[in-house]
This record gives sequence, structure tokens and C-alpha cells, in this order.
Amino acid sequence: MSDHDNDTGIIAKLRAPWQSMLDESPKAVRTFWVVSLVLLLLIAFADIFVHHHEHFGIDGTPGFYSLYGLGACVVMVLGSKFVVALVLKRKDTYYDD
Amino acid sequence: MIDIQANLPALIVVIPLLGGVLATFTGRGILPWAWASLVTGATFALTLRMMATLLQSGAPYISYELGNWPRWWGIEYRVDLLNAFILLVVAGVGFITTLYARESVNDEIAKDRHHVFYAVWILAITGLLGITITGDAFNVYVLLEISSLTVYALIAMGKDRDRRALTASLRYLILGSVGASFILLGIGYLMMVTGTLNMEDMHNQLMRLANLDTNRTVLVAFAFLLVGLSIKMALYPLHMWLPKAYTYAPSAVSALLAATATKVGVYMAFRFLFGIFGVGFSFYAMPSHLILLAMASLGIVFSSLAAIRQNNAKSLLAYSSVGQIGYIVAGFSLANPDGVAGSIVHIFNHAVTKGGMFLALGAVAYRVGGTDISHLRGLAKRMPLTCGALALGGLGLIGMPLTAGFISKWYLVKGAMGSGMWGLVVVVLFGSLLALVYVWKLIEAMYFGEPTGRSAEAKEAPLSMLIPIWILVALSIYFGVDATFTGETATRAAAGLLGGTP
Amino acid sequence: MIEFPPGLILVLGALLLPFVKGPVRGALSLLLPLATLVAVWLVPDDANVTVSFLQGMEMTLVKWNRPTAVFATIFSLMAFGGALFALNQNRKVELPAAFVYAGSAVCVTFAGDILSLFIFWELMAVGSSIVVWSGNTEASGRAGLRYAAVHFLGGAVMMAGILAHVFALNAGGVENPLLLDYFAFGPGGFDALSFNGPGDIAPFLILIGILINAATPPFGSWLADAYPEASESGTVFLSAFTTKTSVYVLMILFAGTELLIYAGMMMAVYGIVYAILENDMRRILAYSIVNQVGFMVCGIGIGTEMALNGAAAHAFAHIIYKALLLMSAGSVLYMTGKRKCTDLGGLYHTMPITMWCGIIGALAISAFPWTSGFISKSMISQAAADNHLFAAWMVLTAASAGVFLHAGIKFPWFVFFQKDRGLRPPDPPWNMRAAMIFFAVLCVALGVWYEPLYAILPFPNVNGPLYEPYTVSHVVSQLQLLLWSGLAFFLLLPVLKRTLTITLDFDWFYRRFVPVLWRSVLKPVVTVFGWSRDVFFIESKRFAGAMTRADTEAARIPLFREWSLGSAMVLITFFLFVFLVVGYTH
Repeated sequence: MSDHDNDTGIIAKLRAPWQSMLDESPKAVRTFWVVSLVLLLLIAFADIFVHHHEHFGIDGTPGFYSLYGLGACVVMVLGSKFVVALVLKRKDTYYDD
Repeated sequence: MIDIQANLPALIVVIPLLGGVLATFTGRGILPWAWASLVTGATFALTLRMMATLLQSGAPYISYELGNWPRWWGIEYRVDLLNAFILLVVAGVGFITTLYARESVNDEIAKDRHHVFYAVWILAITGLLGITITGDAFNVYVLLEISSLTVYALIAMGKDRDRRALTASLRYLILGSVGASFILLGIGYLMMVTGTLNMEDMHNQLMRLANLDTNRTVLVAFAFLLVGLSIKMALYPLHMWLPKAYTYAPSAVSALLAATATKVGVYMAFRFLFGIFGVGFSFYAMPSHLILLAMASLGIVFSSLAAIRQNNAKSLLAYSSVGQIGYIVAGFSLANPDGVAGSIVHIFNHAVTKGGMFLALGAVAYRVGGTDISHLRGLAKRMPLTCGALALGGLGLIGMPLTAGFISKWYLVKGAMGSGMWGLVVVVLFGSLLALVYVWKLIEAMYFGEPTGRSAEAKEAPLSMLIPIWILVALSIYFGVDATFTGETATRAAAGLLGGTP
Repeated sequence: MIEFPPGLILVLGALLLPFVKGPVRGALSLLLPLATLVAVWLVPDDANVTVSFLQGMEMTLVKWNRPTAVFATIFSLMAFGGALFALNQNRKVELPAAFVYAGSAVCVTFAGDILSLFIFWELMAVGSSIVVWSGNTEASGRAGLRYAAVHFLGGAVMMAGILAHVFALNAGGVENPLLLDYFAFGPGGFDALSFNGPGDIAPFLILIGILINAATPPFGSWLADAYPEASESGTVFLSAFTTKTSVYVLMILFAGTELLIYAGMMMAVYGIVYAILENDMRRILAYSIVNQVGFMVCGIGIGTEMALNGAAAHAFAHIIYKALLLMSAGSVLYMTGKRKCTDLGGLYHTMPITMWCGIIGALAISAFPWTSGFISKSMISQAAADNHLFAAWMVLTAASAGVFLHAGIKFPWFVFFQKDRGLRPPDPPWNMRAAMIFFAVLCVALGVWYEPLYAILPFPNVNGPLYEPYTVSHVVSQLQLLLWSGLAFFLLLPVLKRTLTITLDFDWFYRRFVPVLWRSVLKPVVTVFGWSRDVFFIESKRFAGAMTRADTEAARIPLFREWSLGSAMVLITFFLFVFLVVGYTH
């Protein structure tokens, strides 16, 4: 049961930023997500048909750009939010006094 | 009829001297001012003609023996490119500030003293011109006393506006007299050694001394002269007379002093260090130029810091002047062509820039009644032309490209590099950054915020003030865009000082 | 025939602006940039206008350098767009200052010698400082001073470098040492430097001076500090010229300098990290300027023809979409008065034009296919790949993804969507809408019809196109990269929640560290020094007073206090003593 709770926890967290828009027009949000996910999969699997001219080896791997884009962003966001912010973040009134 | 051309050097001093004396008889009203304008205008025309004559003749200098006495008995006036240039600055700024002075003096000085004011004013200019033109060491001292005494009086006349002018004047009188006596002592010791008062003879005699570098009398003379001259040029930290004097003097006097008085002090240093003692003694045998460099560098930094902290715009500019003297002294202490040229060109550039700024502050005092930073607040809305002049002058102090200050900075930095003085490069550039801060303080006050009190009702300054202000400011821009005349004159004068062929 | 620097039309025209009012002012402000643009294109190919400077040195005011065409064109175009956007505002000095700034930037691109380049470079600093300061708030006043101080410091460093090099050239007997050719340090002249004399430090000083203006960390904090404090229209102008002029100058002087590859990589990452943490919408965009300029700097460091073409093209495209983004943000600020993401949201209801233009700008900065960013940025990545610069390529690719994340989605999402704050302002006045639509059209037009831009690049290839952006492989890989980083954004949204915070940067050193250092270390030292002076000069009464009073008041610092006559005399005697001793003992 705890697993299930956890799931709803994550989904609730993911839903939260959308709440305002969901209230207004749930259909539009749903359409946005469905279309996006379809596009994501289509474009990732396009690599099966498209030959990339590789320069370094790994950039020829199918799906490389998708994974690299996703991964790089996750690393950058988490790095900024949990490492850089730890040291350099201040209240926005810091310089005011 | 006197032959003007032949007697040009004498007339440059005699005309204002007589004019000054006669000014005491001009009575009241507009006449004293009109007379002063006429006299200073004529003098300026003569210095222009002097410069033209010198340039046309192609000779390294023009010598004139007063009363046809041979120069070793009588007094020789000698004009070379260097002092022709300084004469031009002194007479030119003298003339422009005189034009400006009418309204300002009306406002700041009691009506029954105007003729005295203008008489003393003209005599002060006479003294400064005389120091610059003479080739006789004792004559330098005499004229120095004339200019000093008159300047003390001029500063004291600020008392009608602010009583503190009296103490400021007394302070300058005491310190200035110490400086002048040191100079007199120095000249006296030199005469003991050389037996002459003519500068060229002095130099020749000194060069004949076998033990010049160790001659104690010469050393003592050198030390006294250096300290005396440092006081007169207001070299940090011997500048203590300057800030108060500039702050409390009448507006026109502040402008005249800032543009000319300390500059003539620097000119005397040129004559003594380069002309009489010679480059070899002053800058190679003696390590004293390193002390001068240190004083100048400290001056640039600390007076600029002090300027930032002033709440009166005139004091701010006064401290800034001390810093600018630092640039000038640092330049010639390098004793290389670029440095000395930078020093000379900055005498001119700073005279027009700072002169214009002090005149603009005079216009502010005239309309608003004071020159505190609070008086300037929001004033650009009321007096856009005056404030514009102050802002442009400020850019010149920073040394922005396209202003005359940039040309000076160019030469000075190049000179410092030529001597491998990277520390000085840093100081000069850091100094212009500090100048940015104090100039910003003025600009922020003028263009930011709302005017209050008298500032809120102030009108633009009268044309009789605006025109002289803008002549000087326009010159400071013009000679930043096209520095051919100033740059070449300074370079050639520097070459002359350093003993090369001009 | 044009026998003067075209930028002067803007610079001198700006001086007319304060004297006209109403429709005349409006017309003039639109005509001046257009006239400049026309003038740029009327400059003959072999133009060489010179004026003399000190001691027979010559300044070359008008000359075509390789990247001149791209930069001069976009600078003029940008001045037009900015003026259109600013048409309805009535601040007196901002627009003239902005025109001086823009015109000087055009002049820099035509400078054929280092001195006239430097003169206009400094004039830009004056103009832009006034633009910052025209924000007319207390914060903008202070930020303006910091901005000016940093730029004049940069100018001073650069001037020292220039003079050191001129000095070395003079010593080498070079005829006219101001010519830009002598300052093109490039790969050979810079990387293989040996320190034999002071002249050798010149390239470093010049480079530092330029990098300060290019907002390279750690010298770059002035950008995010100052730009968001300017007015709505002021920021639009500011975003375009300073950093891109630096890119131009780097391209002329330091093309192929390897150090720049690393500097560029650092800038690209720095911009993303700081933008992710930022809450102020215009500051987010300001950080992304640093990020985008990083791409250009990196391209210049790579230094091949394609890389330089890419950097120049990217500067062109970047100016347009960045201005568009800041116009969109500026419109929001203008209509709502709010600038923080935490206060904004849901604006799509009533500001559709602003939203769509913002989104087009966001797509362009993210280099979506069929936008201007795609046809320019890809050239730089391609050059990195062709030269087998693996690290650079990886960082640039990651940064491309990161741009989409922080500017491409984050800006529109938090401003126009997400949480509805109940704000219902209409779209801004017509001129602001027109400016946005004009630049939005340009963004798309350049993405589709890129040949005219390619034709004016520094190295246009006469035998067909140098580079073909639209290959299937390239489009697919770019879409993969962007769409999947978009997914990352929405997955990480809970983490990206806006907070009321700022992120410390290098400016902390002069905004906090130095003042604290002064208060707690230097001032006490100076004070003690002053007391000792007082003791030395036997002013015990004042000394006692100073000891007992708190020294909080600035005027109490003895170093700056007026000297009494007595101490002045002692000091004079002291100096006499010093000169005597020095004379005797030398």
C-alpha cells in the first residue's frame, strides 16, 4: 500500500503546478500531454530511419540526442537547485539594506 | 610709439601691471569690470601674438633684456615654447574668467569694493604671467610674492558670502608664505654657489661645478626649493591650503586659481628642476623624483577619495584639483618625453576643464545661493546648460575619450610604461575610476531627484556667464577631438626641457 | 558615397532628439536608425577614411572588416526595433543615450584602428550607463554606478593593454602602430606568448578588457545586476550592443585563441545555472544573454571559417530574438508593473500577442528548426564537431538543451501560464505590439530564408553555400534534444518552483565584501593611523575626543580631516628633512 501512496505522492507533486490550468480547462492540458508524449516517442524512434553522421562515436547511437537532452537537463537542474543554491542562494532583499 | 612686436615680452607684463594699478581709479558700476576685461583681453591678444611670433621665428626661444641691461646684471625675459604655452593658458583663462566675473562679482562682493577687486585681480594675473615669462630667479620670487599677496586678498574677498573665506585666506597666507620663503632660501643658496640670478647662467655655473652631486649648498637649495614648490603646486600632502581656499573664494577667483595658480607653480618646478639643476641632477643623481612620484601617486588616490566624500561641490572640485596636480607631477617626475609632454598637456587640459567647471558652479551659486550637493539636486531641470557643462567637464576629469582629459591620460600612461612604472599605470587608471565616482556624485545630484528650495525656482544662468563657461567646456572637448596643437606643442616643449632639440 | 562613419548619424542625431517633441521626435527616432542602415550599405567596398591623431599616428574611421557587414546591419536594425518599442515612452534622456550607444556600436564595427575602436567603445559605456540609469529608480541609480564603474575599469585595463602594445610597436619602429592588423593576436600571436617584456602583457590586458564587456564570469556579474534595473525599453537596447560588440572585437582580435573555447563553455553553463535559480523574469533573460554569448565566444575560440561564420550569424540572430524576448517581458512589466515570476502567471488570457511573440522568441533562442537560432547556432556546434572538440561539443549540446529549459519554456510558462494570478491586463500599446511582431517575423523569416544572412557572413563562400542547416539528420537530432529537455522541464517542475531569492555572484565582492572589509578592517586601521598622527602632532585633546567617540560617522576618519596649521608645519618640516636626508645619503 505504501508503494501506492508514494505513487500518488509523486503524481500529486507533478500535478500541482498544473492545477490552476486544470481547473480552467482540463481538456486542453490533457491534449497537450497526449500530443507531447506521442511526439516525444515518434521523434526518439525516428533515429531508426535517420542516419546521423557521427563525429565522436556516441552521437551516432540511436536516441542519443533524446537521452542526452533529458539527462543534461536533469543534471543541470538538480545541480543548480541542490548544489549551487546551497552556497549562493539568498533572500531577494539581501542587498537592500 | 612703442614697437609692440619688439617689446612683446615686456608688454605682456607691463600692460596688466599698469592696468591693474589704474583699475583702482575706475570707481563704481560697470567700469571696473569693463576696464579689467579690456586689460586682460589685450594681454591675451599679446600672448597669442607671442606664441605666433615664436612659432614663426622657428628659434628655440626669444630673449628680451629689460631696459637693455645685459642679462647677468639686469632681468631677462625669455620665452620658449613651454612658457609661451603656459602664458597662453594663464592669459586666456584670465580673460575668459574676467568676462564671466561681472554678474558673479556683483552678486558676491560689496559694490564699493569692485574697483579694488578688479585691481587686485589684474595684478594677480600679472604676477602669474611674470613668473612664467621671466628668466631671472630672483624676479620669480618677487612676482611670486605679487601673485601670492593678491591671491590671499582675492580669497579673503569671499567673506561677503561666507566668513570662512577669511580663515581660509589666512591659512593660505601662512602656508604660502612658508612656501615662498623656502623658495627664496633656495634661490639664495643657489646664488651663493653660482654668483648669479639669471637662470641660464645659474645652470651653466652649476654644470661647471666638479662636485655638483655632493655640494651641500646645492643640496640644501634643492631641498628647500622642492618643498617650497610642492607647497605652491599643492602637491599632496602639502596641499593643505588649497581645499578651503578654493571652496570659500569668490566663484570667479576659484576658477582662476584652479586653472592657473597651481599650474604656474608646476611651471616653476619645470624651470628649476629641468632648467637650473638640469635633468641629470634632478632626476638621475637625486632619487628625489621617486619621492615626488610617491607623493603624486598618494595624492591621486587620497585626494580623489577625499573628493568623493565632500558635500560641497566646490570642495569636491578642489580635492579633485589636488589629485590632478598629482597627475601633472607624476608626469614630469618620469623625466621621459611622453611623461613630461603629458604633464604639460595636462596643465592646459585641466585648466580649461576645471576652470569651466568652477565657472559653472559659480553660476549655480549665483542662481541658487550655494554649491552644496543638496543645492545641485534636480538642478538639471532648471539650469540644463549649466549642468550640462558641469557634466561634460566631469567626463573630462574622468579622462573619457573625446575629452581633453583622455589625451593627458594617453601621454601619462604611455610615459609611465616607457619608464616601466607599472604601478603608476595602475594608479593613473585607478584614479580615473575614482574620478568617475565623484563626478557621478555630481551628475546623480543634478539629474536625479527633484529640486527643492531655491533650486526649484532657479532660472538658467545669464548669457554673460553661460558663454564663458561654454567656451572653456567647448575647448576641453575640442582639444580632446583634435589634440594636434596641444599635443605637438607639449611634445616639443618636453623635448626642449629634456635637452633634446625642440 | 559615404565618407564618414555611418554610426555618427545615430550619435549626432541623438543630440537633436532632446530639442524636438511629439510626432517630430517620433518620426526622427524611427528615421535615424533607418538612415544609418542605408548609410551602412552605401559605404563603398574600398572605403578608407582616416584622420590624424597625435604625432602623425592615423585613425581609420571607416573600413570594412570581415564581420563588419553582419554587425553593422543588425546594430542599425536593432536601433530601429528598439526605437519603435520605445516610441510611446517619454523619458527625456533614455532614447538619445540609447542612440549614442547604438551609434557608437556601429562606429566600432567600422573602426580600422584600435584607437577609434576604443573611443567608440568608451562612448558606448557612457551611453549605456545613462540608459541603465534612466530606469529612474533608486535601484537603477545604484546599479548604473556599478555598471559604469565596471565598464570604465574594463576600459582602463583595455587602454593599458593598447598603450603597452603601441609602445612595443613604436619601439619596433612600426609606421602606424594603431592599425587593427597589429592587434589581431589570433592563435599564433597569443597562445605562443613568451614574457620577454612589458609589451607581452598587452594581449592579456586587452583580452580582459573585452571579456569584461562580454560578461564572461567572473567579470560578468554586471550584466545581470544592471540590465533588469533599466526601464522596459532600456533593457531591450542594452541586451543588444555591449556583449555583441565584444563578440565583434574578439572576432577581429582573438579569433582562434584556444582560451576562448573554455571561456565560452563556462559562460554557456553559468548562464543556465543562474537562470534556473532566478525569479526575476528579465534577469532570467539577462543570464541567458551570457549563455548565448558563450556560444559565440566558443565559436571564436574554435576560429575556423565556419565557427566564425557561426558566431557572427548567431550574434545577428541572437540580437533579434533576445530583443524580442525582452520586449515581451518589458510589455508584461509595462502592463502589470510586476517583474517576479512568483507574482506573474496566467497572462495568456488577455495578452495573446505578447504571449505569442514571447513564445516565438523562446523557440528561436532554443534553436528550434525554422527559427533564426537554428540556422546560426548549429554552425558553431558543427564547427566544434568538425574539429573533434569533444568536450566543447558536449557542453554546447547540453547548453542548447538547457537554453530550451530555462529560457525556452521557463520564461513563457511562468509568465503566461502556470498559476493564474488573476491579472487581466490587455496587450501593450500599438507601437510595442508592432515592434514585437516585426522582430517575431524576422525570427521566423531568418529561419526559413537564411541565404541573405549567410551571404554577408565574414567568410561567404562564392562556390555555393558553406553550410546547409536543414538536413534530416540535423533537424531530427535537434528536435530530439529539445523535446526531451522539455520533458525534463515538466518532470522537474516541482523542483523548479520559484522562490523569492537571488543568487550571489561576483558582484558580491564589490557590493558586500569590500564595504564590509572597509568597515571592519581598513577603516579602523586608517583611523588608528590618523590617531597616531594626532598623537605625533601633539593634539592630545582631539585625540582623547576621538578615542572616546564612536567612529561611525564617516567624517571622523582622520586621514581625510582638515589638517591643523600646526601639524601642517610639522609635515612641511618633515618633508624638508626627507629631501635633505635623501640628498645627503644618495
